[in-house]
Amino acid sequence: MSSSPTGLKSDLKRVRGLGSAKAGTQHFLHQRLTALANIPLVLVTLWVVISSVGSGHADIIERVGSPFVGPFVLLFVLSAYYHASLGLSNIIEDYISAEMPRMVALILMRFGLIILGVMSAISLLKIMVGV
Amino acid sequence: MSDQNDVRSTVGRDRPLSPHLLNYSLPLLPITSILGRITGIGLAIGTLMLTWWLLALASGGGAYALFANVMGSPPGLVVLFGFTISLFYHMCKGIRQFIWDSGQGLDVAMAERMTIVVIMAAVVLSIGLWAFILFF
Repeated sequence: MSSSPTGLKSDLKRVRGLGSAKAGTQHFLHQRLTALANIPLVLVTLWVVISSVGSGHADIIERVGSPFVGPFVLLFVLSAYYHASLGLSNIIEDYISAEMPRMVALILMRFGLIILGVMSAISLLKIMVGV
Repeated sequence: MSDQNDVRSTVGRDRPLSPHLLNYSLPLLPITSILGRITGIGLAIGTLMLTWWLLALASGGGAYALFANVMGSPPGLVVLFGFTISLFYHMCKGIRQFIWDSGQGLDVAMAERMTIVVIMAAVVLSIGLWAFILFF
């Protein structure tokens, strides 16, 4: 039980929302979880890319569009691009000290990765649905 | 005695230096740390390449042929190799980070040994992968 004068607030309630970003450990946790997910997903994606070296367009579409391959490439795109946005926001927050340029850089970086992520995801869905 | 207070006379003597950017050489561990960030930035820029690959595949044979030609050209291959070694380095460094997160290997000697393993693994995996692609 908490002995602090904050009354009925539990320790968990007090620790939430702390840190410079007011988001507690969420950034750290998401960074590590996407890093963990990226290890198997990037190996599957690498295998798909390598096995498509020298193949024709139709063969690659067939391989990537397979329900046993495509979902993992899609998950890699989501996990890796989110991981990239977490890492780049760390770097931007560390090296750009002026408030306005930092906000602009963070927003542009996130918008950019969201655009790339949505383009990749829709391309993959199109390949998998076979339109 | 008076020359001890003369700044000019200290040149060439074994006096301690402040850790100024121009004469401070980073130890191995900080170098691998900053390399992790640099490869991370490179990989983030590399998302452009992965996105282009998927867009080209979805767009059809002509768009894919353009992608394959650009990536198969000498500058394209250099970029791809840089991407590969960045990827393996970043991944191995991440695994090292997981081991450290668990509280293992945090003494300096062990940390440096793990770091050398990370660098060697990144080089061996990259060269191995490219040897596999080019010769098999």
